[in-house]
Amino acid sequence: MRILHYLAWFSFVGVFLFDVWQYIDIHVLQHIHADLFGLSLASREKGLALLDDWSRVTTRTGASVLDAARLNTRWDYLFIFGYVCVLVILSYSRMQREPRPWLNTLLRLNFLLAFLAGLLDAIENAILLTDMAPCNIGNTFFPSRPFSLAKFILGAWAVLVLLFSVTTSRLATGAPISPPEDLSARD
Amino acid sequence: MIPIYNPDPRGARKALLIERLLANRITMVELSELSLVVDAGDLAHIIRKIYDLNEKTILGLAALSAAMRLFDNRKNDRRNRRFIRKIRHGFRDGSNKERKVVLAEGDSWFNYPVILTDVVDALGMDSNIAVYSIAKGGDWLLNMLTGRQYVEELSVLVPDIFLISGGGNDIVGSSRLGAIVQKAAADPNPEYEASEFCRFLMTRARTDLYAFDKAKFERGIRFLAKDFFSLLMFFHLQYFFMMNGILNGGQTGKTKFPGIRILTQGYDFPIPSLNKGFGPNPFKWYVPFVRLFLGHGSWLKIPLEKRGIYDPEDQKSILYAMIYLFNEMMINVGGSFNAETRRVFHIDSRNSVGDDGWTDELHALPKHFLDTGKVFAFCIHDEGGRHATYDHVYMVTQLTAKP
Repeated sequence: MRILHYLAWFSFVGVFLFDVWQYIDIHVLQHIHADLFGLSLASREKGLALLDDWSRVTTRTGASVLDAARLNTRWDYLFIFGYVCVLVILSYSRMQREPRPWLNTLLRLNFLLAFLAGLLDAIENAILLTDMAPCNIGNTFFPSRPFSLAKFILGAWAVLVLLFSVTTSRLATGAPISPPEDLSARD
Repeated sequence: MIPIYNPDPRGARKALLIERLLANRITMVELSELSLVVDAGDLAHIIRKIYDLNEKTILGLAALSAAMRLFDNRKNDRRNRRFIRKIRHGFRDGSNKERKVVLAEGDSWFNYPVILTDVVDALGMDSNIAVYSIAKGGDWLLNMLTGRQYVEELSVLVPDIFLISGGGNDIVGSSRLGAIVQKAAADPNPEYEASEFCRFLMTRARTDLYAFDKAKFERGIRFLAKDFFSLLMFFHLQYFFMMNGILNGGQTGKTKFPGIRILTQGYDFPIPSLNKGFGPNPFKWYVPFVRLFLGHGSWLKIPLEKRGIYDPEDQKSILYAMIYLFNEMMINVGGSFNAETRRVFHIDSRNSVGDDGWTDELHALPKHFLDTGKVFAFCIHDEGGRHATYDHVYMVTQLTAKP
């Protein structure tokens, strides 16, 4: 169990750092404008144009931006595993300290939302990798936007619930029940 | 006639009482007498006889699976780390009399290791309570008493409160439910009539405070076999043995824990079911998951059907009668230690969950566990039991009633 815990955090943080490094390398150091994250929300026309551009721009390693995007998308599977697990771990931990029943229920719902967000993200990645296959460049592009949007909405909701529970926890802790009126009257 | 020399007349008397308990023909006076002389060896002997199995097999049945143990321990580790953190931040420095250290021993109502928020989780949300948990989902009362882990932890922690929840798995674990029911007997059930203990419990029961369903109770009683009544008295002996050990130092009469209070609970009326719980409510998404993979149906519904009891109303009535008597037994055994000072309290969850409030056959939805946990917390802070519903009993339905 503990190994899974470490593995989840390692995947989450590790891939996140890889993404940051890739962004800095391509955008800041090499001054190449390539919106790697924008592809997942691109329409058909925009997606075709983006991939076409990327296939023609090379980075200093000699590989194209498209190759970098493929690498990023493959690593994203590990990131999906990481963030789904981390969201579940944090929600579970918070849930066991959350006395407000409605919020306790929402935190439990986070398990499902995190899993669904991860599933949608995995589908999105599969679509993107298909779109980025050499035979499809300039020919076909299947937008992954519906999956991406749904993923972002579910993920954002889960994070908001978690943050709300954490930030308002002081209002809710240590609130024992008071006796019903007829029992208080006995004092 | 030559008189037979008996080298151990007290032992012979005890053996006779045990035989009478096993035959469900023991009187109240005899049961009280037995409870004062019974020891761990006798308890092991009685359970062997009730279950018709040798002790090793029984302990094997009662033992937790490796996976269950792993999840239970993980949850306890997490809780106990929080306990240590509280202690290290001066929780026990004596500056705040409201603060209470609690040791929790019990079953899945105290430690449900996945998805649900259980009673002890709810209790741990109170900033003035530090809970150390050795509870394990699926644990039998028999295991708790033979393992005696609570004895070690009591000595180490010297807590203000000891929580105990046990007995449910001894009834329903490993399909044992089938062994303590029968096809409907004559009305009234001769075994119920023969059980002076159960009839005594019902004369003392505060049926006026509950939405007590007499017809349902009587319908269920007809299906209870002799071994159920023996098992109920066996629970009485086990709890008496445990509480007497903690509160009075057992047969030494000197307690190591003066001032400690014991809180018990006795479950709500569960509903035998094979329904997988699929439905449109996204907030109950986990119900089908729990029911598909974690034993739903195997505890109550299937063992009853194996005994040819198919009518859902009969099945519900059986569990109603069982849990009603179980709670009354718990109230009775606790009351026997409260003559001078109230030291044992019972949290009565009967009718608090309702027909739609179950995650699976045995476990309430988290909101009901939260309510029960709050009543536990309320009782812990209620010095002297001033706000008890009656005697030493706190009714969850009354204390959590919405205005």
